Amino acid sequence: MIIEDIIFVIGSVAILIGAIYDLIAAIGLLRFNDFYMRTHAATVGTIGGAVLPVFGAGLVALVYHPLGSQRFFMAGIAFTVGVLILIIAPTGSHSLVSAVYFGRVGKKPPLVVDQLEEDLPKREDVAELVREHEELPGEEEEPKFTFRRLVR
Amino acid sequence: MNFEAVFLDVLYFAAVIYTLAFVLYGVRAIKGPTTADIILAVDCLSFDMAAFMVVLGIYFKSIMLASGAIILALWAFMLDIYYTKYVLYGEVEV
Repeated sequence: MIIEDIIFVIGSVAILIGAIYDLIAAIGLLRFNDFYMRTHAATVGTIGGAVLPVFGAGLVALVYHPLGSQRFFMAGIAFTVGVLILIIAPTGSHSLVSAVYFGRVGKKPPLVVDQLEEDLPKREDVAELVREHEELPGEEEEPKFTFRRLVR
Repeated sequence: MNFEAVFLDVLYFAAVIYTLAFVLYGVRAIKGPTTADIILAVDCLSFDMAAFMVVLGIYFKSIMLASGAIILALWAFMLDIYYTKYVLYGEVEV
C-alpha cells in the first residue's frame, strides 16, 4: 500500500538524519573547549541523535512486515523510549550543569557576564556557617545546603 | 517496495556513522579533563546506544534487544542525578 511506503520512507529518513546529527554532536563534544559549550553539543546529540532515530524506528517498525505481529510491540517500545529520553535528557543535562556551576568543578571559562555569581555563597560565609554548626554539641541535624568542595 | 532490502541499506549507512560517533564519544570519555566531562560523554553514549539498540532490534527481529534500551536510558539518568547529589550535598542517599 502507498500509505505504508510513505510511513517507511519517513521513518528511514528520520533514522538517517539522526545518525548525521549524532556525528555532528560527537565532533562538537570532542572539539569544543569548555564544559558549558560541550553541554550544548551533548544536547544536540541526545535530542537530535537519539530521540529522532527512535521515533523513526518506531514508524518503521509499524509497517515492517518481516517482524510479524510483534511489530506493534516493537513500535510501542520505540515510542516509550523516545518519550522517556525526551523527558530525561534535558533534566539530566540541567542537573549536571548546576552541579558543575554551584560545586565549582574544574576551571571556570572566561565569561562576558555572569549574573548568577552574586547569588553564590562566599567561601568565608560557608566556612563560618559550617564551623558554627560543628560547635553545637548534641545537634544531629545537618545543614540544609552544604557545598562539599568549599568546606575544606 | 521491498522493505527488508531498503532497511538493510539504511542500517548499513547508519551503523557506520553511529560507530564513528561512538568512537569520538569514547575519546572524550577517556580524556575528559574533569569528571563532569566523562559523565556527559557517557551520558550521550548511553542515550545513542539505546537508540541504536532499537534500530538493531528491528533488523534482528528481536524484541528482547529493544526492551534493554529503556534500562539503558534510565541508567544514564541515574548517573547524572547521583553525580549532582554527590558534588553538591557530599553524600548519596536514597
